Amino acid sequence: MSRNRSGSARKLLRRSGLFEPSPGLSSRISRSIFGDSVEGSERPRYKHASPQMRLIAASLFAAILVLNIPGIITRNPAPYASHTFEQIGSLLQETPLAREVSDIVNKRKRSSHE
Amino acid sequence: MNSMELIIQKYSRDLYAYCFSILINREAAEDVCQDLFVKLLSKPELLNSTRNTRAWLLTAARNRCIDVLRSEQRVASCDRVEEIPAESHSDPQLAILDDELATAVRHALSRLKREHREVLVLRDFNGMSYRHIASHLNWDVEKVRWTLHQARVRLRDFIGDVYE
Repeated sequence: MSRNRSGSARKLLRRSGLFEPSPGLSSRISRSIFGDSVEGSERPRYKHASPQMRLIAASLFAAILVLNIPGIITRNPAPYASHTFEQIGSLLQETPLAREVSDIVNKRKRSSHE
Repeated sequence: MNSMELIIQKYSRDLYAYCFSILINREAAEDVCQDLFVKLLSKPELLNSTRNTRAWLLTAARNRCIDVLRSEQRVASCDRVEEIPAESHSDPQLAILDDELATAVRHALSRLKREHREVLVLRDFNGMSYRHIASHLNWDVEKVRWTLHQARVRLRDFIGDVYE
């Protein structure tokens, strides 16, 4: 019984076509993630981010790397600096950068408590 | 092609089928798939904690679909099952048969319990083992066997013997 039944269930599900995604699903997903412009080789990982988010992320990286902001904040916390980082942190929630931003904010909070 | 595109290509079919089995709605199932892959790209570290990408995706898909069902209070009833165009065939007779079959299966599925549909698709469409299904649904293997048996019997009963 079970062999026949499993065979017929399998056939029914496959032949019905209901469980096949639209032909364009994979490419639609790819487009939503990677955009249309880059073809072939490795694509930018965060191309789906808005230009504003990318600008903020780039600025943040530049600030961290060039100006050594974490060090400045730790030594000399300023209210506006905290506010800016939290804002940025919430903007970057959807990227791995969020962890780095939150580390900086937490570090700053710890040092201000001390 | 990068690793994320490979994951999309490799898993999107199974993932879609599973989402469809829960939502019985093509558009909603495709949206869930898309959301999941976007989420995964945003937080690729989510996969660090698992060695089984498929298991992670299916669990995340299940949670997301249940959220969708709850938020929209979507009821998978015959009346609300969407119309899905049948696969195109060069032979009109085959096209009619497949169209009838799709309609019959769709209505039968909508009458099955959600857990029956899930098990049917995981086993009979995605080809997962009983052990993996049990682990995914957090059931024991015997429950998977029994539920699958019931699901097949009911699917067949609901469809009738027309397509034997």
